[in-house]
Amino acid sequence: MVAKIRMTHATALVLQALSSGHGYGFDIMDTTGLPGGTVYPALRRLESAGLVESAWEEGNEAQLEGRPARKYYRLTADGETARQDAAARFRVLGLLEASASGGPNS
Amino acid sequence: MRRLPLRCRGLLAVAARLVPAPRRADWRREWTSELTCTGPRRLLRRTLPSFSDALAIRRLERQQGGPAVGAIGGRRPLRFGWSPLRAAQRAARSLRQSPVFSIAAVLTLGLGIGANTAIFSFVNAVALKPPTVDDPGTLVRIYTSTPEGQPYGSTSFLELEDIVEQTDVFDGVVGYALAAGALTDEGRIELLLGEIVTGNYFDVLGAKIAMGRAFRPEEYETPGTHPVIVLGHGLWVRRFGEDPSIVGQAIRLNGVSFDVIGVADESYRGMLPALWVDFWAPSMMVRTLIPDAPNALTSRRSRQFMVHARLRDGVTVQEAQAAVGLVAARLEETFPESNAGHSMSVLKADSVRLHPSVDVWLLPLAMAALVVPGLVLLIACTNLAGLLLARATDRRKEIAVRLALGASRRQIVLYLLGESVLLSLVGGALGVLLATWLVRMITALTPPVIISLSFDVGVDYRVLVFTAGLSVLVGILFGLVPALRASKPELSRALKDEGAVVWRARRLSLRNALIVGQVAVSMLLLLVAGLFIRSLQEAVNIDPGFDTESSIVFTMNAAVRHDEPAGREYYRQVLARLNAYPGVTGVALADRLPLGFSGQTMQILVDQPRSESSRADAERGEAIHFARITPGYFHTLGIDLLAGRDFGDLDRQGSPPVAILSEAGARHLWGDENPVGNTIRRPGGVPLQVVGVARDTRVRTLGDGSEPYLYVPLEQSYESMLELIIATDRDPAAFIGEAQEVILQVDPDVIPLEVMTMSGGNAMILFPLRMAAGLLGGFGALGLLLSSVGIIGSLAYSVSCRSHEVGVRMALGASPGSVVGMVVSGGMRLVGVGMALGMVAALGVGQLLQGLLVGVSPTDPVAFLGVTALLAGVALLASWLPARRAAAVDPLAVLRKQ
Repeated sequence: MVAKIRMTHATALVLQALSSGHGYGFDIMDTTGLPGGTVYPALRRLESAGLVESAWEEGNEAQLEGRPARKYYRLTADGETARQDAAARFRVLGLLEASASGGPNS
Repeated sequence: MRRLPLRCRGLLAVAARLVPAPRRADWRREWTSELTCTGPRRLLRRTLPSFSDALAIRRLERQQGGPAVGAIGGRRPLRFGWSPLRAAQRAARSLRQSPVFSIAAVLTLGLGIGANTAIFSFVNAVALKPPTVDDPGTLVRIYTSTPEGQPYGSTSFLELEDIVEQTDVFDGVVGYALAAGALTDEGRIELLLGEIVTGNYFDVLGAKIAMGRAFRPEEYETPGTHPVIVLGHGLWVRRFGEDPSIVGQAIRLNGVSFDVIGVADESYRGMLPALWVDFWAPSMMVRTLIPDAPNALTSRRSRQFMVHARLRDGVTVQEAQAAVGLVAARLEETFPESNAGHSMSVLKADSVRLHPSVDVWLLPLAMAALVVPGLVLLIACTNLAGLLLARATDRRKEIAVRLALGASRRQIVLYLLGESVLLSLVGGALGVLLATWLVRMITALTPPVIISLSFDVGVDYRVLVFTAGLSVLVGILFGLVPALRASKPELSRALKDEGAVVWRARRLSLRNALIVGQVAVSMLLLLVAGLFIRSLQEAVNIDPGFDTESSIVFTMNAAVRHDEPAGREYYRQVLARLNAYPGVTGVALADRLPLGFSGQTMQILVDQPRSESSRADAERGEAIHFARITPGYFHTLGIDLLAGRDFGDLDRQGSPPVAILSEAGARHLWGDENPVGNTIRRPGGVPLQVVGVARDTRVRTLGDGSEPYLYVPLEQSYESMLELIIATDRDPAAFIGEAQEVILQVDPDVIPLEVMTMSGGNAMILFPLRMAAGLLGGFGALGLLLSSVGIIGSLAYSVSCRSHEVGVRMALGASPGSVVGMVVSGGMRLVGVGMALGMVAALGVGQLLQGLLVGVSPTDPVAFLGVTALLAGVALLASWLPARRAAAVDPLAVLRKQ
């Protein structure tokens, strides 16, 4: 199910973060500097629109690290298209790849 | 592994409640994982975003009217279809929340379904359960017709042998005849029901032997030489305590010692439905076990045997019919004096239940028997429908919320139906338990029958299927209307908690109809029960025309040991010894007793016809009931002689034949003229001179009027099977043992087949009435109980709905008494309508039952008034209880609630 969603700046940032391999909630928060109250609802909307899909972490990595398994998010094909559209609209996204942490203020 | 601080976990738990339940666990796991990895710093602050996340999920799901996401790798996508398991779970959860309602409903249903299951167990045993034979598809029954027009009669032993010899369509032909055997051991006598059978019986039918063996060829070849017996499993358990060493021992039946050679398997119970056969003996022992048919093996006229045959492979019923028809035709030609007019017919065995001519009305009758418990169940159903309606009104808000959240009406109806079906299934399970107990009670009611019967009535898969089906049906029946109603509330009102407060008479009209229906059905049940109870009272008070208190009756058959001359001598000695015995005030023999169910008639010619109709009778004779008796019969039974004399020792073989007429008989033949000295002529028989007139007795049943009756001396017309009547001035029941000793002193091998006190015998006469009155009374009481519970529940509910109205009335000055009056009169109006309807129905049903009632009319005022008073009283009480609660309403509290 691919539904149209409102592409805000924050949503675009989340897509970009996912695209560059930041796969779970806090990772995205750290990378984008967006608050949790923005990141998670955005993930839910994206997921429900079919741009993002989620899966539980497999293997015993979590066990080795002594933590519970994470839920990872990744872009679907539609999600990748949407990210490219958004990247064209929001040039600033490109900056994200350059900055390791902190990121631009929105 | 690291763990989250307690406070964080608490916050997550709270936030998780916001997430729609299906996704909750998954969501919580994700957040726990996220937070665990972030380290302790700022953890609390970081927990808070979970709330906006949870709300986001919730919002999305509501926008899309379903689960927002089919999570990948997590749980399966939710199915929103209806599944029995989910429905059951949901129903169980909802019912657990209102235990009182659930328990009341299950009990009500259990009673209703249990009553039906119990009666169905009997119907099943009599009309449905097939005998357990091998491969019933290839088994046929063979009947011999009679010239009198009975197409399905029994067959003689010689004809059976003819069929075996003259046809090649059967793999085996089996004959069996019902027999009674008096089992004696240590002075105790028990009359057993058995079958005497051809030697191949067990093989051909596929009946299994649990212990020992079946018959050997030499045991069924020569008459009377091999007294061997196979015991039924029921008898073995009941009488011999499952003692395996019984095989090889001997038991005494009808005064003859039989070797027990085997015990039948529990799975084989004989060819009679509903009853266990106690024993099987070879047909060659017929003289001992069926003493009234001494020529059964040698005479073509003595047709004692039912015949089953196993079709040879590939032979059809039609081919078998043709072959057997040929045999019958040949027999008609060869033996015209015994076989003229007797044809034979072949029917598939599994198409016959008891007997083709009985089967026609067996199933309808059985179904009719289910009507009464069906009515009780109907009351239970209406009761529950009422309760559910009340409950649905209480749950308007819950249902409105479900509808508002997007449940379809179909889902709501299914959800509510799930509840009612679950209730009735639990009720059905309870019903099965109740039914096994009821069946035991009902079969325990039966003992006054002469033969000790083992009833084969119980719960098998048919009964369980019936009960399960009935439960589901009932659940839907009583659940559907309330569910349909509840699933379309006016949403906004229901959500605002209105409506329930407002009493609207029209809306509850269905509830009123339910009360009226319940009361009508209980009224009908109680009235019918009342009529039977009144019949029973009347029957007990009917004067049968003879003394029933001070005598005992032994059923004797001298033919077991003696031919006719010896039998006459034997009976003379018995009479003489008993007459001389202290405590005996009178003793006599008779081949028929008054009120003996069975009658026998002889044809007489009316000498001096009085009217046109009897002139016509004069041509061909007229049937009159008669009995063979010995002198002293009238004295022994306390029947007055109105004119003439009793029989005497001079009325013997060879002396002029004489007869005594009953009062009604004398009036019928000669009006008011004194009949003594007149002659009764018989077509083809010697004329009888009337020597006396005796007072009337009831002939066969208590319901009979005074019928003409004729007595002839036993000495002039011998019969070997007789009732020996002993009148005593002691306690009859206690005197039985002594009397039996005296009888056995004459010949220890002539065992009384049956013994009872005359009053016990009369109890047997009353048994059908007692049974009907007891069962109907029981069902009536059950119906009354259920419908009074229904009235209480229904009124209590309406009272709780009207508490606001009642509060206002009382605030405006109504007294508690007037409130009680208002509620009670409201309830009693409905009860009155129901009672009137039930009464009309009972008038109709009473007409149908007229033939079964004794001494009361179908409109018996005592029954009608009594039942009306009873039901009205109970209904009044049932309305008063909730009314009292209404009057206890505190007007202030009610008004403040507004």
